[in-house]
Amino acid sequence: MSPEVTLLVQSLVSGLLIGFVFSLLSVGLTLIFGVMDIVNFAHGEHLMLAMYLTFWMWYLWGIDPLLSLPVVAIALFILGVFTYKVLIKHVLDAPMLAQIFVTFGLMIFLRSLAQVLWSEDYRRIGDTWVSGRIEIFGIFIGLPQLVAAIGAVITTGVLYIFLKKTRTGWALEATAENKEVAGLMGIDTERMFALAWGLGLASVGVAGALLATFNPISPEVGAVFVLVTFVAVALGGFGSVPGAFVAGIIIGVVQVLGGFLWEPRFKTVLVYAIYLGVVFIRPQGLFGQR
Amino acid sequence: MLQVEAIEVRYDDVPALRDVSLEVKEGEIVGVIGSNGAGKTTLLRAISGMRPVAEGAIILDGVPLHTLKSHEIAAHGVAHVPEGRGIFAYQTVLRNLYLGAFLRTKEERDEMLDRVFELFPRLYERRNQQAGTLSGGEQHMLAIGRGLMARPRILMLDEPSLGLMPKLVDMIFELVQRINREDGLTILLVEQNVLESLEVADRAYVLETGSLVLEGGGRELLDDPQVQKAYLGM
Ligand SMILES: Nc1ncnc2c1ncn2[C@@H]1O[C@H](COP(=O)(O)OP(=O)(O)O)[C@@H](O)[C@H]1O
Ligand SMILES: [Mg+2]
Repeated sequence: MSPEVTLLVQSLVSGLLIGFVFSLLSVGLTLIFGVMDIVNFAHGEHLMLAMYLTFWMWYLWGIDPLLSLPVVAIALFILGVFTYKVLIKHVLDAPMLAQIFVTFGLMIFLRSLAQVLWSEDYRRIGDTWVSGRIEIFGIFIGLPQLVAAIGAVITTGVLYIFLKKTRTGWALEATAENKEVAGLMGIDTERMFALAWGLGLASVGVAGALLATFNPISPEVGAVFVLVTFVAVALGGFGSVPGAFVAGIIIGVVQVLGGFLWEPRFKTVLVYAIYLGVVFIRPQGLFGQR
Repeated sequence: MLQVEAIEVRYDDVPALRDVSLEVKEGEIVGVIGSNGAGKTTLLRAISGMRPVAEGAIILDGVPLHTLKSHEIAAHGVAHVPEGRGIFAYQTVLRNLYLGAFLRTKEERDEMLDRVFELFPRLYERRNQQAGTLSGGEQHMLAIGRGLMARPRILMLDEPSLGLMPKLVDMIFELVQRINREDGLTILLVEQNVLESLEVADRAYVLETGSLVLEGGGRELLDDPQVQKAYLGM
């Protein structure tokens, strides 16, 4: 292969890998939105918390991120349910602006809290079980990135199967489509809301633990990922889990291709260009129903 | 079995139902008739917990329902087939029916499914189709079938004949009678189609702008001069 082609394939592969992580993050966000029409603006900060949790477990007790992953996922699940019960539940029937302020306020609060508690310093997890890289046909693949992608795909798949094949998953989907009628079927819709928050944040927890193996951690790290996540959710169609999955991958690939064909600092521009295209051509997104 | 005792239900402090009392006995078909805006839908929404009850009480076999949430009321055996059907348009017909039996065991669900498919062969043919792609009449059948899947103690139907062709309207009313007779199901039927409702109802109430103004046997009300004048154009 010529060096250019190798570089192109190299970019595509790394875009694909990070795209799977974007997918998982977007699925978490779209799940909450789909079930209760509330946008979690603190999604990135929840990711940040997950990454710090992974970092501290590694730093203080030497626990490898892959081992702490289930702990982080459960912790974030609990945090999600807690956030719903303490904050979100009270603004369910409030005007949309009030709902936006609540999660937006939460975002600012969590970010400031992280700055105070852990300073602005960038942290990095050193050696992990997945450190290193492999070479296939002249293409280098970072092991942390590869493992993160695999982990993200597995988690998304499990979540999807849960939604499609279990009674509780059906109840979640029914609540998403029509919460009043879901109540008439005997579904406790408030429990479904809490569950959506739990699962949404647990997805973020898994993504955070996986990302922490190679991505530096700081109080602002959420902002980097959350913009891409919002674009993916819109591109996939608000509330659509398969849509968020596909859109996450598309955005991962577009981002690196943009950086490769153009200039790295413009890579995000291309992502937004696609988003604008979607808004104008297909406002409901790729898989959107509403 | 079901007692509604002097309830008041409001929208933004404006009462939509005032001092409404009615009773449904086991095995009966009870009709509530009234023109558009009379408060029929509000009555059913209050019973199934979709709307808070400001005054009065709703009791099912001694259990007060008016303090419970929708899903708890469903668990006490009240099935509400909402106005405009309220089917899950993005789910398959089968999934809609399964959701109707959400609180039932698998055995009960499968048993009831056979019965629903017997009553509505069309639903069986379309079981794997997205519910939103059904025709209007089929969606009505699905909504009723989904209500039956709960094996309720009382089935509440909100204008099941609304917007249907005359042939289908007849079919729906025949069906209401059939499930009442063959399955012994107690039915509270809310309708604007006064003639056909009174023909199938054992007893009925007339609702006018939020208050009950008349009650009596179905046949009896059909012969009532007031009803004939106001609702049957005689
Ligand atoms: N969501 C609502 N908000 C405010 N007023 C309502 C609402 N729903 C119904 N109403 C009012 O309550 C009254 C009864 O309505 P409804 O129960 O729908 O009557 P019906 O089902 O007999 O046509 C009407 O005057 C209607 O305007
Ligand atoms: Mg109505």
